[in-house]
Amino acid sequence: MERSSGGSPSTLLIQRARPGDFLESLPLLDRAASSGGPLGLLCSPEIASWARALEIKARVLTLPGVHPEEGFSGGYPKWRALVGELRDGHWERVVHLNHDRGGVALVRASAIPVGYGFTRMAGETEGEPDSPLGWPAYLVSSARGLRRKNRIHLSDIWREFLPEGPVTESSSPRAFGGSVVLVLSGRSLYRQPTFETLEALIRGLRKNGVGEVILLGRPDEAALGESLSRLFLGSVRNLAGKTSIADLDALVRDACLVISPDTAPLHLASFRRIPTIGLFFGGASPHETGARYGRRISIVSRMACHPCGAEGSGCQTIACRDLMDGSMIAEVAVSVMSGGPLPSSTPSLWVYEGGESDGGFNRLILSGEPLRVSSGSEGEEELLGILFRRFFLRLLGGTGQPDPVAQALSGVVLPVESLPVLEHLETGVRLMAALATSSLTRRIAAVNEFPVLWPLAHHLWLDGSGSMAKDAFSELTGEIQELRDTVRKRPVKTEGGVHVG
Amino acid sequence: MWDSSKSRLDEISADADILRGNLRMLGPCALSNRILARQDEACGETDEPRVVKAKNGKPSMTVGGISVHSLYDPEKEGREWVREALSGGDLPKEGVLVLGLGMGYHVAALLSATSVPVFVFEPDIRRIRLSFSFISWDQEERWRGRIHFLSETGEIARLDRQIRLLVHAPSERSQKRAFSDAKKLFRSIQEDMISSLRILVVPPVTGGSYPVAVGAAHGLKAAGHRVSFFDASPFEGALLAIGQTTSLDLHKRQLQGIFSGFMDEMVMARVLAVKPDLVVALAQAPMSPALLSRLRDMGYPVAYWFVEDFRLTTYWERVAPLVHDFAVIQKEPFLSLLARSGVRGTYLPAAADPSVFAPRELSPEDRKLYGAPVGFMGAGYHNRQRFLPHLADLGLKVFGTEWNLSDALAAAMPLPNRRMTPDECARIFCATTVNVNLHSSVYHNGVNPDGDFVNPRTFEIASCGGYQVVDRRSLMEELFQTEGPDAELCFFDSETSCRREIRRATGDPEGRRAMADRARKRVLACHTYQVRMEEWVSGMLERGLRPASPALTGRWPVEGLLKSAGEDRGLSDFLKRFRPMGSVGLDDLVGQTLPGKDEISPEEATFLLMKEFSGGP
Repeated sequence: MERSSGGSPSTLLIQRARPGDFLESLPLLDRAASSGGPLGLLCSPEIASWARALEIKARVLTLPGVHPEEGFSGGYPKWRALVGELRDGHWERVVHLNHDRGGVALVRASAIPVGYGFTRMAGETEGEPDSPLGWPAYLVSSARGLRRKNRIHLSDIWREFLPEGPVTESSSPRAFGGSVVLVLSGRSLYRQPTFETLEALIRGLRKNGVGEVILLGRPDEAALGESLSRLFLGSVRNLAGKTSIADLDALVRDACLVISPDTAPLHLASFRRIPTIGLFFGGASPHETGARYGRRISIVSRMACHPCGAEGSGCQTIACRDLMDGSMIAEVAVSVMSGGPLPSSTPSLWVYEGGESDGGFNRLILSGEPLRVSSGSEGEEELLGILFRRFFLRLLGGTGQPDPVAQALSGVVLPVESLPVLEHLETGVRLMAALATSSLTRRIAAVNEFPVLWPLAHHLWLDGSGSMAKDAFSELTGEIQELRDTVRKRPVKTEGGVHVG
Repeated sequence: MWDSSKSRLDEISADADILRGNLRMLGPCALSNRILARQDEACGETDEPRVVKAKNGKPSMTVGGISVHSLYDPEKEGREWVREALSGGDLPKEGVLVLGLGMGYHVAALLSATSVPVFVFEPDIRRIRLSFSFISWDQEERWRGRIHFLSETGEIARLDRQIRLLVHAPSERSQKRAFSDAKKLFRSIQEDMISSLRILVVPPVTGGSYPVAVGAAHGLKAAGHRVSFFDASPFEGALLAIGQTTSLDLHKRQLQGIFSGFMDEMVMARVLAVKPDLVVALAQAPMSPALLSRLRDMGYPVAYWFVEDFRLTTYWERVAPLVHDFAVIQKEPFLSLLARSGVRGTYLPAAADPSVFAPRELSPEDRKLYGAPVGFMGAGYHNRQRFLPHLADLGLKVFGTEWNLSDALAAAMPLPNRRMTPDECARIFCATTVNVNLHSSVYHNGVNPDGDFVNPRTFEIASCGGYQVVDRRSLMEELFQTEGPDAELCFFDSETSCRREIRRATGDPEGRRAMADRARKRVLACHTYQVRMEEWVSGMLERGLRPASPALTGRWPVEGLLKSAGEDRGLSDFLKRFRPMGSVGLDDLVGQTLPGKDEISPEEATFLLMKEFSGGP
């Protein structure tokens, strides 16, 4: 079995999703590579070409195509050859990042002993998993309309890949007068800023002395890019639909800032440690898929329905796009480039910044202020989000590095209204624990009374991790108790809230 | 440069004698008829082929301005094509299939250079006609009897699997879809695939065709296909509510339009989820012409079983041209009317589902409720309302819906106007001494003397082992033994003969039982839904229907797979386990590979990946 000289295990990453998802998983490849172990990437030919263009240091294996006419005699040998490659004793751990049957089958076919991420499909009940390393909680929270409370980030799955010791990942300093890359949209209308937003943003950048604005986008956005380019003659270069992945990489590396919805260039820029401003509305949430490296700001729509199901939501108005204030984004951009303080959040938009020195994980602070919980529904979501993040990270395990969000709870201001929420939750956990041996139907009926417990219930009951249920319930009860006790011990009233210290 | 507009066919003088000679060589057949009839309707994919004069004076061909042969020396190019084709090794003695004729230079060169049979597939009749006008295909002694022309994709299915495929690339460029279908079909012959199609059955929301749809789904499943059933019955209430909500016709039509659009999307959603190789739709299925057009454009073939009387229900005119196959329960003049609309109708009579309609032991309560000396089960059509009261004195019981309860029959209805389930119908047929089966008519007062199709009830009563007297139908004779001592059914033509046959049968329990047994045997052998579906689907397969991904979603003979495994010991050992099954699909091969952590063999892993990545279920 192949190992690096330092004894780090060899890792195979299976990435079958869109190229943008591949770019989002670059930090994982980076982490795995930095640990010194051999690295492999199993992907589609398209992603393989991207990996080569970006000079990713990994052995690239490509999936054979499927041709309707090839039949058994054409199909069997090539799939058998792939199985041979997967089982050649090269790989010690496999990571699969998407919840899809094909990828799960690849994990299974590989017979690689240690698996991370989606090593099984949610709902498959055969066998017991070794540990709850998968993302069913994340998945279910996404599906059950609880996403506002979800604080499990995509990258949490590879916590175990963190090297020992602190990670340095500062952005390189950028000249203010350099070019700003502006990405016109993500893959759908639900990730596409309005023309008005883009126009006001460019106007704001120009007003503040930004040099050139480079527009990137899909081929079908070339006309939109042309309109903007005509509007700001001489200061906007429209490259929408004209760049290869290598061109994109070169442009991003040269930029002093990249402003983008949650799409491929955002993650590529972040990977290259270029400062980014991510625009999150529709179905995209920075808690789940925000940028990982470099200086990273997220501007987030502050609507009650966000994050929604995007294309699946049936929303016709997409009003969250209208909240994306172009001049506000320009203001944030200027602050980032000049090194000045970030503007405060507004009633329409959150301005989050991902923290440094936390290994690139999900520490989000609000406009430079400490993480806080205000009163009202937003506060309740924040509280439960943090609570469940603490709990799931304990459950998921990892390198033992402290979780920055969990640490940040020490500075949280809890509103008094949060106490009944915690008591209600505790009742739900007690009920779930008591029903552990009841019929599944009865348990599901009980959980419906406590919807916030759905991710946990699914994880423990439906996904075959039943034997862990008892410990998990006790962990969660302890987590709730700790929070409640702290609140009771040191009630310091501040503007209608309770300061937890 | 060549100016094709100035170099038309007439300027290079096509030779009528050559054309006549070639047609003589073909003899009377479908292809020669099509050439003579100038049937060019199947050539919509390409522009009009034109003959142009090459530099060496020989006729060449262009399509849409693109040349199919060299414009300098097409003969030399043909010989080079053959040299290239033969570089792949000796040709099998079974012959070669050449896709693309064009003018035929490459085919002529192939005939001259080899001695094996040559099958030429050319879907564009116009190109065949042009080639036949310039090249005499029986001019050379050594060509004779070796050249065969195919113009329909389905003809490829009859070729020997050992034949080698050669593609004339310039012809393929202008006929991509037809060539792709042909190649797909040819590969499936080579793979010796037994087709197990993924089929979505779409029944009507309600009505008499619904149980037919259920029976068809059972039959398709029994025939080895993987069947999904789009159950539209939950929407029956909504459909009925439309009729009850308003009496304004305009508003009713609007609501029905909205409902139809909604159901279209429901069906489409199911199609996209199932990704069927074939959609089987029953009469009145909630599929509008707009949806059928969309499915056709998306490449989902729809086979429609029109279990209706075409004289009474005329929506077939809009539906039939939009579907892949249109099956009907009547013959002439319906088939000719369809042909006139360019539709090839398939005659597919009704049938029975023996899993529902079978002899059964009945409780005394069932006998009391459903049984009678004479029984009728069916809807209250005009002719039945007029005819059946005349049988009331024989101990008649009537079941079914749409009866006028104010007339004399009300007393004969133990469950007035209640819709009976198929299971209840079977109980009625079993419990009744003499089942009267009168085909519906809205024009006649009794028996329709010109009635042709045979209703499902005929088969269902027989399948239950029940005894029936049935009105005479013109298509009955080819389905049952109708005359002589081995007759399987008893017929009537009028009220008088009906009463006579009922009385005779009532007094002859032995004869009744013997005839019912013969009828049941006939149905089980020839008239089940399984038989019908096998016949229908195999007809479609013969005419070129193939699964969307035939190689990976079909079934393979295990012995064939073992042969392909060759020296691969692991694969051979794995496959030998499946020998008792005779043939297997990917579902079978990975069926025992359960989700979980247990390690699987490399062969199991390989088949698991093939299944997951083939778009299998």
